Amino acid sequence: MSLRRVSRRLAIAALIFSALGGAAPAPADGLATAAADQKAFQAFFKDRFPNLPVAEFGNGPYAVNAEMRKQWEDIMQFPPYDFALDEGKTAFETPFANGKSYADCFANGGIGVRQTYPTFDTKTGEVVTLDLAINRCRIANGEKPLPYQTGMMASITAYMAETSRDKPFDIKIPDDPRAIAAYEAGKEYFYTRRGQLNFACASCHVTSAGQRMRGDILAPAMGILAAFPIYRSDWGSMGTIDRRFTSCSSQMRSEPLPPQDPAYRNVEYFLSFMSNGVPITGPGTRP
Amino acid sequence: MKTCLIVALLTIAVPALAADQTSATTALTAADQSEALAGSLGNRWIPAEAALKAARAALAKQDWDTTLTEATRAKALADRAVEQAREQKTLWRDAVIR
Amino acid sequence: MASTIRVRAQANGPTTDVQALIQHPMDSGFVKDSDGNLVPPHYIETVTFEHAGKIVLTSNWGPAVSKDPYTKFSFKGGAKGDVLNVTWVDNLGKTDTVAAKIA
Repeated sequence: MSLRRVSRRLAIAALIFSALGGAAPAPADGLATAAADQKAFQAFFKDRFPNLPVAEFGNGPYAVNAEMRKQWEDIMQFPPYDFALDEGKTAFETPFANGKSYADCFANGGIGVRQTYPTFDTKTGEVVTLDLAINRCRIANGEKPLPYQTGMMASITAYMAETSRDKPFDIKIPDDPRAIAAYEAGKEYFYTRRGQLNFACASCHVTSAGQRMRGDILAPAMGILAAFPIYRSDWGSMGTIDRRFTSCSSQMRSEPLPPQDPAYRNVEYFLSFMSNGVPITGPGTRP
Repeated sequence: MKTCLIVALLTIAVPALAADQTSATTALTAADQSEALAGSLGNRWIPAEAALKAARAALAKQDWDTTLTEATRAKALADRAVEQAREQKTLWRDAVIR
Repeated sequence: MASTIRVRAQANGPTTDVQALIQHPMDSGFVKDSDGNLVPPHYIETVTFEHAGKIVLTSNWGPAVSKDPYTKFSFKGGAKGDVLNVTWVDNLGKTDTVAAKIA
């Protein structure tokens, strides 16, 4: 068979493969690619914000705008997430009806582990976020799952984040093609333009990081998840990563996906891995 | 060129169209199909969904003119969404920080 | 039940610096819930800060103040160990009070 015939057949096969919804195959050395991505990503932001210590990247707009930082320091004398934090601690320490508790589902009893999430579960072949892990813990112990966007889920993750405050993000990608594919899918999602406004996550949080969008300052993508869950003044309440992802989708006039959709979990995985080394600053407060 | 496309996406104006039941339902079916395709590519646009909802509501009231207008708008938006998803399948790589 | 009032009072020479965070929905009565029904007004009307039998600050709030309001002010007087009483009353007649120690 001629080379042209072979390559044409391969091209058709690839077309059929992708039409059937198959993602592009993972790159030859996925882990090396991910490591190189991370290095380039962090170099980009350190170059864009040369005087910013790595620890500050978890403070989003407050790291890059002096006026906002002053207001933030004022607010932080009495963090608005305080009530949620208290509620979360109490809930975390209260046993389930069957006598077990959240501590039984997590390494180190769930204390000081937030910075390792999301993880890749090689048993089920999917990305597991902290929020998903909490609900799986509840279901495994005969409790109803919590809604993802706010309320008790935000309170419990606030407490778990607080126990990890200042611990650097430590996300691992196991040498498993499914994990690498999830990472790559998250990367693709982050850089893909979507919605009527034709924005990608990167449009605001890479290209325009540190600049204004109407009255807001856009946070750099590096470390952007470190402060979650957040009390957002705009919401007047707590919100999880899901709350922010779904509202960001809407703001681009793209129909939001359901909370904890694999696409959202994958992009959380990608963003968190890109932020390895940035300390947890959650729970946080934002404008 | 890209800017023109973006401006066009935001200002899809549909001229007033006179309709009957057949043209209205045909347009709605076509719009549904386009939006389903956009959905399979993971790119449903909020305004497309809104126009479809308006078209269905108009159909229920047997308002053929509005059904046709909204369905035409929905299809136009859904088709752009499909185009965007297909282009982005390769274009996204250009944006990756290297 | 935990208090809805958190106070931090710091003696600072001749003055005392006070910060307080009060947990309250502060519903204006103008906002609708997801079913389209108006959420009834429920907001704090007055907050009083009292030290050594004297009221050092009265806040007259209302529907324009947002949820979980935060107050910061200073008053002349007060010393470490003194008590600062903070009390709020809302439009439904509910109330809460706390006796905070000046640090």
